[in-house]
Amino acid sequence: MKIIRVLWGNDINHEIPPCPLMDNEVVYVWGDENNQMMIDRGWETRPYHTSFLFEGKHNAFGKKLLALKEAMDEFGEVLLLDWDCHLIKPLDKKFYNTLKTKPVQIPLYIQHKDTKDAILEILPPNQSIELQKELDILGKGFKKYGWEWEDGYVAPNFGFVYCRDKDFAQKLFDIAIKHDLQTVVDEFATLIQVDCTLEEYIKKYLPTVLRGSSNDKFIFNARLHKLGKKFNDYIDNITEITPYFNHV
Amino acid sequence: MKAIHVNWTKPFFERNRLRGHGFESIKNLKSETYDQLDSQLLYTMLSAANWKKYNGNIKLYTDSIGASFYQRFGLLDLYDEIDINFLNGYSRSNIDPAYFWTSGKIKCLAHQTEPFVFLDQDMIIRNKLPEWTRVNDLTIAHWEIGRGYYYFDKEKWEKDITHVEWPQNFNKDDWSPNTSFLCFNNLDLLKKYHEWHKKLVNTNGEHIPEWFWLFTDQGVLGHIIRENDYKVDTLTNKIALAHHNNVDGTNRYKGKAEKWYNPISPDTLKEFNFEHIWLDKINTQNLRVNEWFKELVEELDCSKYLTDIRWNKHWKNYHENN
Repeated sequence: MKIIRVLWGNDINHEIPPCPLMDNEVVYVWGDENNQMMIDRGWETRPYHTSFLFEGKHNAFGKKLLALKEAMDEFGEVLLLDWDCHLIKPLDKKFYNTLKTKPVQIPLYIQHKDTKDAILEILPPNQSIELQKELDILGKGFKKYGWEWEDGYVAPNFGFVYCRDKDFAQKLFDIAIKHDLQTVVDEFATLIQVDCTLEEYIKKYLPTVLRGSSNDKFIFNARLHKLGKKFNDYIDNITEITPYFNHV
Repeated sequence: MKAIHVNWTKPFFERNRLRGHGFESIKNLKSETYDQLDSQLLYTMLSAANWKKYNGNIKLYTDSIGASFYQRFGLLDLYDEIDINFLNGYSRSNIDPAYFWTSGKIKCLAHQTEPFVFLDQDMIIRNKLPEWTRVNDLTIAHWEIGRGYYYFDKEKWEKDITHVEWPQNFNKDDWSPNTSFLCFNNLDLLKKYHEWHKKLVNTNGEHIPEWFWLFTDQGVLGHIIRENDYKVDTLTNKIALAHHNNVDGTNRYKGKAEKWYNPISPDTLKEFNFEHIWLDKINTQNLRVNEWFKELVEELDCSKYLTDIRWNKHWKNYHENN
């Protein structure tokens, strides 16, 4: 099984390690400079020099769907990991057996209904107007596509995606284009594709090898962190999570 | 001179069976997933950053889990080189990581092809290493006088150890090298160390008593040195006594033993200052964590490695006291 990483722009360069941390990693990378940087650091890459897809102001996350689709075409079974999804336990037989149980596995997380302000509460003051606009769009998307749960909306967290269903990856890509999704394009596309209740999603798609958002990051006495912890507790009550990854 | 740090995480996942006396704080970590105490991360940073400041490049040997853990804190950027594959490979071997938790380290030492320094992550060198450390076959931190459970005699060995015979000429009363700092100038010595280590840790599944572990790391190195008449220097002339029971000297009058002893004629030209946290880390309450944090921020330009939310309480403390 290939580990897939995705890189575009230079906003998260500080999250990129100086070398691949796991065996079998491939990076889908946008931009010549980024591609060279990843090669220099020892990665196998799949470069995109130019692309007219997902180049809008608020739809860059669609690149993850393009990468997933292409990775599925090439490898047939992949684990897509965000750069801030850290391995914390050896990947043993139990881990691989767990992945065998469902062909697509994506964890869940929650945003507050008052999405923009709840996020701004945990960020340093005076965030840019641009970010605030993006958070407005994000909030509308969560309300439209997410599952309502207490004071928030729940969505799949695309920081960890296990997939061995080629059609699923293709459909997510098609949906993102067709609906011209914005902000967390990958997560909204998943919500549209699965078309089920939260309870059904948990049965059919929820992995038990990590939490969508790690409890480690819920440290502030803020609405989003309290809700995030509460939602994780809810998931923990339904199913036994044995974390192999920490998504911070 | 190039130094190496080694962080092999496989022993962590067997920590309930870990051998060695410095592990109480690790054993108490509740986490099922890899973790380190704040103090461990801080002294690792101190060790690497001080080495870079005064002595040159430092390479990290770790595995995927250790690298992922360090990456979360940005610590991989502290190192000039990183090797993950070597220890990932060794983790697939049958060597018991709880019995022989330093075996990953010795395998990494054996992987070196030119003279180098090995530093335990709790060994802090705050000065340029003097030239004399690079002249003889090996420079170690200091010698130890063995006493108590970890130091065995032939009778004990023959009773408990079946996979390897009592080492010919081994003298249990000789000193043992402390291996927290090793400057290997002679790679033949390293080769012999590795050969012996392999023989000792391949136990064929036999039950091994706890005391045997220290021999596979320290005791056998001393034996090799003596058998081959290798020349060894020490960073300090002082010799550490195992199982000391007198911390501040107040009970000296009634024969309680202190930790450090000086030889009759110490070589005062060969004395070098270092800080080895060593057994002090058993009691984490007594560690100088606040001073370490301050040093990292003010003297070593390491604030960039202290941005994770985990450091919030340390920053608060720092700002309140500085």
